[in-house]
Amino acid sequence: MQPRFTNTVVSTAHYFIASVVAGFAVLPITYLLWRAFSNGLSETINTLWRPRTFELFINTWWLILTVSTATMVLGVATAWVITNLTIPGKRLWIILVALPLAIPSFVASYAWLSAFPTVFGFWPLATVLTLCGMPFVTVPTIAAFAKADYAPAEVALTLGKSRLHVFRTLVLPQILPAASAGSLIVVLYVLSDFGAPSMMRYETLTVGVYSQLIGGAGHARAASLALLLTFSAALIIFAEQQLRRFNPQSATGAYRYQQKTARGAVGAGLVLLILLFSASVVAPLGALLKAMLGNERFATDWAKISEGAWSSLYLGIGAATIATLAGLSLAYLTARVKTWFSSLLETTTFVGNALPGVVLALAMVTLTLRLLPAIYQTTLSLLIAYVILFIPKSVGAARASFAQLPIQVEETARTLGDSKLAVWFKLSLPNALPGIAAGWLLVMTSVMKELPVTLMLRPTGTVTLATELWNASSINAYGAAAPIGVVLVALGVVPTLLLAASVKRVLPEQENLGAVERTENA
Amino acid sequence: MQIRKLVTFATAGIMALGLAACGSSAPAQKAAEKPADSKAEHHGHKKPEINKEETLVVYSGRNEKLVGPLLEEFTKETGIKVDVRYAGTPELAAQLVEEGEKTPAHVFLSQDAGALGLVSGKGLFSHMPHELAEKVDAKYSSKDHSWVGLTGRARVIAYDSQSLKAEEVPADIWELTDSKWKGQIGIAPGNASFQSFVTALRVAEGEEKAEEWLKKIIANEPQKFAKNGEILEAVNNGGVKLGLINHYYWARSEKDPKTLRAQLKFGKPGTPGALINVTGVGILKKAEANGNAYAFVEFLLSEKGQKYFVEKTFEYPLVAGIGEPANVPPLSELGGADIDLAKLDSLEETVKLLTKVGLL
Repeated sequence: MQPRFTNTVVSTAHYFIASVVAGFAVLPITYLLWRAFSNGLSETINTLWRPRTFELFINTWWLILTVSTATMVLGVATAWVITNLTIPGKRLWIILVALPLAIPSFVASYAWLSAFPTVFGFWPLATVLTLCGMPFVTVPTIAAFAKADYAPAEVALTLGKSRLHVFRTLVLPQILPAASAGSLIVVLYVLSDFGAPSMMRYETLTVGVYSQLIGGAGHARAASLALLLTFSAALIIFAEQQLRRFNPQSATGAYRYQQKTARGAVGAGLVLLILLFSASVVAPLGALLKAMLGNERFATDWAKISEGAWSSLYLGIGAATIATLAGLSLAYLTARVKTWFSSLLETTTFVGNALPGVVLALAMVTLTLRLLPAIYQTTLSLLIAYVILFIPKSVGAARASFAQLPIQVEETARTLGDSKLAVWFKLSLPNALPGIAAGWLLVMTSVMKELPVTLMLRPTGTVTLATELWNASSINAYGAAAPIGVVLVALGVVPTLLLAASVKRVLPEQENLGAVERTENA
Repeated sequence: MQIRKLVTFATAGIMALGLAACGSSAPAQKAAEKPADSKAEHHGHKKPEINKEETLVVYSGRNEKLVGPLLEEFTKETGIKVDVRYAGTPELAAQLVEEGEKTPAHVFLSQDAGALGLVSGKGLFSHMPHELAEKVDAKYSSKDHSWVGLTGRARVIAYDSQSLKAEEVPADIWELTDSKWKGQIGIAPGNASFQSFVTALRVAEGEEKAEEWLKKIIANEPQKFAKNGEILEAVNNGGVKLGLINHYYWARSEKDPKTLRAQLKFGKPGTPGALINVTGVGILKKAEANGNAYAFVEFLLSEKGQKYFVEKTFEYPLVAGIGEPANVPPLSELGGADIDLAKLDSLEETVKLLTKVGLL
């Protein structure tokens, strides 16, 4: 199916909302541009055109190429194992596979370094970031598998094609939009992350930005380096858009696949899941708990922790809901229409996600004070900042989900008399629910562990789990941080429940399972 | 389509608004005026009244677990409620600069002199009352009386006691350039206290010597960390043999410091390696006549406040006659580098130098 270059299903309301959202999302970039050139053009060029900057640039690109490939492969594999094999406890695994999202990257790095103190640098960092970033691919891909159409695959199998060939040509292309959207989010996450690269002593552009900023006088230099990050992000976003041009859509509706029951495959899949879960969730929590055993100085403040848990929860739910709702129009627009305008909207919305948190935080401070000083350091400004920061995560997942429904279905609905908006509400939206729920999950967990923006914009006295964790870890009181980490992961279960509910389709009913086994044994 | 054109212009309009907001110059950021005019008023002025109805807003770069109890003690003693914003010192300094005159903060409690110098340089501090500033030796506070030092932190070398004996560890920073330490040294070039140390080196031995030292250290392939705490962790784990940090990280570790694998070597007195860095506090312009802010600084400089720092955060008190923290040598024995600490405000040049040699 060729992508549409004229618009047949997207209502003008979507254009309007998407433009407004993109306009807000681009505000931090305008701040960045202003800051970067505030010392003059020659100073900016001096900062960018030197060996050290090249070194940081190359380091960053090696990292994102490695991590994006690894997360893509492992993420798709994990999603496939959960949806296509009859492993026990599927509902549980859907929750467990999303839990690494609740673990900040510096906690995962700490876990690695406390286990292997002399092993640091590129490969350990890539490993840690892959484990942390994998759910960004896994979660939307599970949603995509839930909606994938297996009818052509079944037919091809009966015609004698090998399983691998069938998977590669008929199933994989259907979930690739979701997987590549997830991969894009991973890349942006790696670009903006500071905690893990700094602890692993591998210098990326973001580490460079922070170093300049901490000097206090290097705002313009920091902003110039951040511009390089933005540029890298724009390149990748553009590449991903080009890749997406040729993704086919399925012709028929969803058809449930008979899931594999071969014991060898199920066993291998289970082992993979357990290994990944141990490495990405059990190990970091274990390291913190181990530190807790040696903690003699700092008592655990349970009152603060529960206050923080409550704040994290309502801030997370609030921001995730607003971000998801605000991003729906943009997601739908970019799924259906592929013109320069939709490309531009998407790029401007996504590119801010590559910025280090501290740069965005300073941008939001300036912008809030200039545009709406009355809401400075209130919960509202914090929520707005979270939405601007995390909307790409929900847009990416939702977009892939919208794209899975063939456009012909919507067009047919239109010929039957409904307006574009009515079709959207009645047809596209309900069908895309798994992807939207996936996006909601991604935003909520990101908000719960977000730090720099929270520290600068929160109402004075507001405490979140992330700020409490930072309090403890910044004086190396990792033992005191342990209970906070545990509560953070426990809270991370909450958003996964919505996703698990929306992908019930892939979970087999007990009767069907029995029927398959009987047929196989006959 | 007409509506889509409208929509495009609307978006462009929002972007333009954003650019305009950023482009318009903020008077607070361009002015670098020192609070010189108020100097005359403050000699021999009366202590401003405290106001129990008003909440004092403090921006604290110091960790909540460390100074939280002290601030609660202040509220108990004076009845003034305190609203504290905890964040990293450089981030708070950056935030104060961005906020300018619209800041809600009354007082800035900082972890290092560099950040205070940055905020002071933008003209955001008010003049520190004379009777408060004179409680501390002049060399530990700013020359223009915009901020006052509270406690001292000594630069030290943390070493792996399992593989090195105390005598083998260099006391002079120039010994670190020896090639036998290749790959064995941990530094935190992005960290404020390292940058203060490099500034001290520049001031004490001159620009060329400082650049030479930096280049020789880079040739020795140091491991670069983001924070001092991470350096201490690494020395404790055996990841690195020597680390350039501040003394108190060790002294207030979760475990008993004497049992740690990492032990401290203090620098040779009189050299930049023995630099005493300061934490300090400044009162912001809008709180110039604010009695609560005055009472706050007074409390921090009082015997109670200083004793708290000695016992709980293991830092050196800068007010005379208070004593010193456990497990470390007294301040008098250290004889920190012979440098006017106020000169350490000039961080910009240091950052430029570090950028030039490629450490930043």
